Amino acid sequence: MAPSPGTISKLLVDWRDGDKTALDRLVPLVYGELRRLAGYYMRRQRADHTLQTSALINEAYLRLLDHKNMRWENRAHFYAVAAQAMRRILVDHARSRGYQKRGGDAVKVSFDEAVIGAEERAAELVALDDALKDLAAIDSRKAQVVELRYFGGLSVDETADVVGVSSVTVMREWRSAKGWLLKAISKREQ
Amino acid sequence: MTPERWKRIDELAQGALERGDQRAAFLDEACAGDDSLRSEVESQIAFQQQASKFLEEPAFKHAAQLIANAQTETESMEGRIISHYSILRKLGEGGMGEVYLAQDTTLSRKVAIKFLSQNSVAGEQARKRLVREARAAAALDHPHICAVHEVGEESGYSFIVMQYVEGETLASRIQRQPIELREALDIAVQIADALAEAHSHRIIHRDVKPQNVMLTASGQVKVLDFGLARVVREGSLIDSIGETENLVSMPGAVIGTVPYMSPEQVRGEALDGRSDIFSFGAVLYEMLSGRNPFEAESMGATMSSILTKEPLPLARYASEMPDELQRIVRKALSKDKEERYQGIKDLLIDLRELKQELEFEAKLERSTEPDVRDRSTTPERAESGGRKEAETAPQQTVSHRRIIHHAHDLQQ
Repeated sequence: MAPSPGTISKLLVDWRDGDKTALDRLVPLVYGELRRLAGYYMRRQRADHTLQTSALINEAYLRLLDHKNMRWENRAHFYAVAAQAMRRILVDHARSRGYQKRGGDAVKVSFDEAVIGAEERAAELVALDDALKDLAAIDSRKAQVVELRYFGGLSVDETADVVGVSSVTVMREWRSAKGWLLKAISKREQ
Repeated sequence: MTPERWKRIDELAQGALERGDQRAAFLDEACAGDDSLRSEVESQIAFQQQASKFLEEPAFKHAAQLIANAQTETESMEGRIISHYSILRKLGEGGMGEVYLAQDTTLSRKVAIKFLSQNSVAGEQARKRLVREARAAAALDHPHICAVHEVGEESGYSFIVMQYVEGETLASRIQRQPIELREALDIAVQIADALAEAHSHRIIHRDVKPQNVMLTASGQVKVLDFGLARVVREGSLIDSIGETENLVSMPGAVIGTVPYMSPEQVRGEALDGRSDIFSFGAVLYEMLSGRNPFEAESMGATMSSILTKEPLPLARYASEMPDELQRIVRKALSKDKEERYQGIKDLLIDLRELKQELEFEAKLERSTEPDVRDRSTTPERAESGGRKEAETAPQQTVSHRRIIHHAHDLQQ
């Protein structure tokens, strides 16, 4: 039973318009979809440990946000808000698991590995969120690109649309930002 | 790092990366002897190259993996949305089904939802009973009874939506550490109060046990799970014992309940409020002593002990036990229901009176006895006071004074 896309877009609009409780109401819907996905993921993982389920995840993510059926004044604005909301929800979730302080601030940087412990993943998310805040302080556009690409799940072209720059620029900013973030997170580890 | 500094580093790093094998020459010129700048640029380049796969899959996937890894292998209601409830996590399970924490997306509040396990051997009977439980409990509105919000059915699931009570069960509280007299009395009065409310609506709990009593952080008691309420009255189900055996064959079912059954429940007779009084007596006994009065190695031995054995006197576990409290527990645990308290209200009145008496004595002692500081500076006065009491009532003084000590705690 997937959440109704109408509900989600309504809540996102409310949140954008300053209704703080809208995010709280959004959380269970996102969690619900996440857990459903987790179920798929587990089944696939059992079948073949090397299998990546990106396609599945992306599809579900798009269904969750269902931007095509929405009537926002513009798509770009919706993406930006959705990415922010997703970041808040996912990071809060990770923080609430209490993993962020385990073993000091040690973080194993292994985002690209297929199999990794839940605690490490949660710690990574929290560390990334902190680093992203630091990045925003010195280079807000790069931080926004990361938010849109990583938390919002947008493609390079979609991101370019939202930010209002060329895709080439997004690609350049994205690579640079990833390097900066990886360094920031690795530093914390030491 | 300032935005300007970072901008410079970033530009040089991108420039260097675009220049391929001309990179070193480019940097030599651009950094022009600024070693610190040069090393930061090199570092940015290195990390950027390492980061090619970093963050390439969206956070959503990571979060799903996080949950997948954290989840148990068993199929669970977690993550599902039933009606307007989003199921968050499992809170526990009982004989009748699993209980989950859920978010009510309409009213924006947390609730507890009990689902009837679909593979329950009790099947249709259990489903009916679940619904009855809810209807019975929904009629009750009391600060010490866990509120029932809704009874629902959707997609083949029967469920009861209840108030979510955060805290620990009395069972875990008892296990954690001994409960002081004043606290035990306080909890007991609240449980009895809840039962009195239910009984006044002609609803019997039938499953009073420490696992069904929640204690909140603020010390409030909530009685849960009027699970077997009214079942007998409806007449459609087999009574206690046969049914219990049936459920006991299920993994994780009612086993914990047996030690709190009344003799008439063990014998499978018709029940009234006095059965709850007996079970409550067993709970009270356990709070005061740390152990169930009847529990034995096997279920059969436990039942036999409920029917025939007198529990050990409470004074065996705690010497300072007030006589009046021992009398109350003994009376609640009478094998013959005619000799028990005939109504929970009478029991409640006795408990309240005892509680007030202890509080009163505490006040009295405070006003007549020198306080702790005086005692330490003038030991003779305290000594003589103690001796005087000892002369008049040598046997009772010790326990009396200990009670007062407990009551003191209550005041502070």
